[in-house]
Amino acid sequence: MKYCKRCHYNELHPLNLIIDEEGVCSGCRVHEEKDELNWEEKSSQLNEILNQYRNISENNYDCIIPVSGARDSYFIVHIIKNVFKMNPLLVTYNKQFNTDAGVRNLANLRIKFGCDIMTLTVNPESVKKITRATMRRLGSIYWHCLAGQTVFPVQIAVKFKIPLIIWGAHQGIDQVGMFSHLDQVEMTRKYRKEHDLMGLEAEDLIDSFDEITYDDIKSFVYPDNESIARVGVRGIYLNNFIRWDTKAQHEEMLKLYDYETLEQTRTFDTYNDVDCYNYSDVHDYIKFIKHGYGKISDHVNREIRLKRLSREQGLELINKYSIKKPENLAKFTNWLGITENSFHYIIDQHRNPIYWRRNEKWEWEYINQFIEFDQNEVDAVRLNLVEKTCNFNITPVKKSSDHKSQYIIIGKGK
Amino acid sequence: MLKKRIIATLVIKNGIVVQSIGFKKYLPVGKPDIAVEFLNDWGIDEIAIIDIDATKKGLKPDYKLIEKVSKKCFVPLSVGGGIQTLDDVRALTQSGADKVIINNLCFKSPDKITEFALAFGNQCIIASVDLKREQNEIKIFDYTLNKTIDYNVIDYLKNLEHYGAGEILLNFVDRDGLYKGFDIDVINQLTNQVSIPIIVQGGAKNVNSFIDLFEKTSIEAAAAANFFHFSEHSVTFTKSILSNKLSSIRTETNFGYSDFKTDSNLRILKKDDDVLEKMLYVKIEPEII
Repeated sequence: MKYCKRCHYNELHPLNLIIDEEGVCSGCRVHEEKDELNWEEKSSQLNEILNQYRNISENNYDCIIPVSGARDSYFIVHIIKNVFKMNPLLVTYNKQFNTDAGVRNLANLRIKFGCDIMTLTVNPESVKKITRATMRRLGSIYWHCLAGQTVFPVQIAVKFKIPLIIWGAHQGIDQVGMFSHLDQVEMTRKYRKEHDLMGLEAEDLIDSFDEITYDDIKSFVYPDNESIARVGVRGIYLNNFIRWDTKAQHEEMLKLYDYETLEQTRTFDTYNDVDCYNYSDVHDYIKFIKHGYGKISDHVNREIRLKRLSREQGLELINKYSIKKPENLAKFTNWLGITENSFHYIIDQHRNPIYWRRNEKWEWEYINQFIEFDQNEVDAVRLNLVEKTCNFNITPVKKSSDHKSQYIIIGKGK
Repeated sequence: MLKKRIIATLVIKNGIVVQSIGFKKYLPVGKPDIAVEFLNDWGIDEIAIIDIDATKKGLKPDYKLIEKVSKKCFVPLSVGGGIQTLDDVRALTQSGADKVIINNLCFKSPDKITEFALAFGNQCIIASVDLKREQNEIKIFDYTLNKTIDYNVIDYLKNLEHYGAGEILLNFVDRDGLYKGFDIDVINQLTNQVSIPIIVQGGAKNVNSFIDLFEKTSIEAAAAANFFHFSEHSVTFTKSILSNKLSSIRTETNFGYSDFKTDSNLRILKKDDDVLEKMLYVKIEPEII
C-alpha cells in the first residue's frame, strides 16, 4: 500500500488520494497552494460575490450560514457578519448527541453575533431508526448528522428564497486535494451523496426491515433540481477565498468571542467538534475500524501541512490516540436502545480486513500496513516547521447545565 | 440540423475519476458511477470514460466498472483505455458501452480500426488523437512514451477516417486542465480535413469557451472533463447559457438557468429581490417520470 511521504495518509483514503511521482499525496500538493496564492486577491473575489447577494429590499436575509456549537462556526459568522457586514440567517441541524459545551457555544454564538437562527430537530424516534439502519448498512452512526447538516441549509434556501449558502472548509480540498483552490468549487448534491451520505440518499433508506417509511426520512430529502435552479441556490466554501487554518482561527475566536473548548477522547484538537459526544469518540472509533485510521490522522496531517508538527511527532500522536477506546459508548447504546454487544457485532461486520485480523485469542488485532520510508526520501519532501509548538488551549468550563447521563436535546438561550 | 453535442469526459485512474492537469498532475474526484448518475441528471449529451492507466500498465478495460456505470447511464457511453482486441470491444459493448475509444492502438495497428468497424459499425469507433504544440507546430503526442511523434497530423486524421473510424476525438495536451479555452486556430485548420465528426477536448474553462468554439468553428461536439465537477448543475447551466446564444443545443431537462445572469467567473448571479420575493409562495411540483 502506498503512503504519502509527507503526511500519514495512504491511497485507501475514503475520499480517494493520488500519490505523485515524488511520493507526495494530492492533499499535500493542493495544500501547498495555501502558501502560494494571493489571498488578498481571493478575499476581494469573495467580496465581489457577497456584494451581489446583499438584499436590497430589506425583506430577506443576504445569505445562509450553517452553524453548529463547534467547527469553525464562530469564524464563519465572524467573517461574514462582522468583517463583510452581511446579514446572515444561521441554520443548525440538531445532531442530538450534544455536549454541554456545544450547547453553550451555540447559545453564546447567537448572543455574541446577534443573529437569527433556525434549528431542525428531527423527531428522535425517526433519528434512532435511521441510525440503526445506517449502522447496519454502512457501519455509520453519523449518517443522520451529515445528512441533516447538509440538507437543512438547502431546504431553507429553497423555502425562503435565500440563494447563497456559505460553508467553511471543503473537506475534499483540505484533506485529499480533490480540487485546487483555484477551481472555486461550490456545493453540489453529487459531493453530498458520494461523501457525506456514503452513497445512500434519504429515499434509499426506506425499508421494511428497518421499519423506515417516507415519514421518517422526509426531513432529509434534498430539494428537487427545479426548486434549486429556480432560486439559483449556490453554496460557496470560504477556504477557497481565505487561507484556512482552523487552529489559528479558533484561537482568534477564543479571544474575541469566548469560544469554549473541550478536551476530546481520540484527538489532541480541543477546538473542532467539541459539540458532539460521538464525533471524536464513538464515531471516530468506528472510523478507525472501517478505514484503519482515525480523526487523529486527519488532525496530525493538517498540522504537518500547516508546518506545526513534524512527520515523526505526528506519528507519535497517531500511535497514542488512534488505539484509544471510546468513552461515551454506553451513552450511545443507551440512547439507541441496544446492548454494547450488539453494537460491536454490527460494527464488526464493517471491520476492514486490510487493517484487522483475529489473533490467537480471537481478539481483533490491528495490522500496521505502513512500511517506514528511507529517511532521505522523507527529508526530500519535508516542510520546514514555522511554529515550534502545536499546543491547543483548554478554556475553563463554564457553568454546566448538563444531565451527564444523557444528551441534551435542546439548549436554553442563556 | 444536427445539434451540437456537449460531452463529459471522465478520466479514470486507479478506478476513480480524477482531474487531469497537463497529463501529469492528478486530483482525485470520486466514484465513476456517482459522476455518471449526476451527469445524466444534469442533461449531458454523451459521456466518455477514459482509463488513462490501462494501456500503460497493459491492463484490460475494467468491464465490471463499465457494467456498474452503464446502469446509471441513459446517454451514449464511450469507453477508452486498454482496448487491444476485438474481444475487448465485444466485452465492452456487452458491459454497456455504446462506443469505444482507441488511441495508442491507432498508430500501432490501424487495421484494428477496420476490424472493429466491420464487426460493430463505424459509429462504434472513436479514434482519439492527442495533440501537442512543439515549436509552434502541432504534433501528435504519444502519452505512453510521453513524447511527440513525427506524423503529419492531417494525413494521420485522413488515415483514421480511411481505416473506418466513425469519429475523431482531438485532445489538446497543452491545454489539459489549464483552462485556456479551446485551441480555435488548430481546430479550424483540422475540421474540414475529414468528413467524419470531430470532438474536441482540452482547455474548457467555462461556458464562454464553448460559445467561442461553436461560434468560431464548425465543430460538431465539444468535451470537457474537469470543470463539470466544480459546481451544482454545471452541465444544465452550461447548456442553458449556450442555448441563449445558439439554437443548436439540446436542452431537455425540466429545469434550467436561461433566466440567470452570470458573474465574471461565469457562475450564476442572484435573481432580483422582487423576483425572489414573488416566488415565495409558488409551489413547484417535482417532475415525476
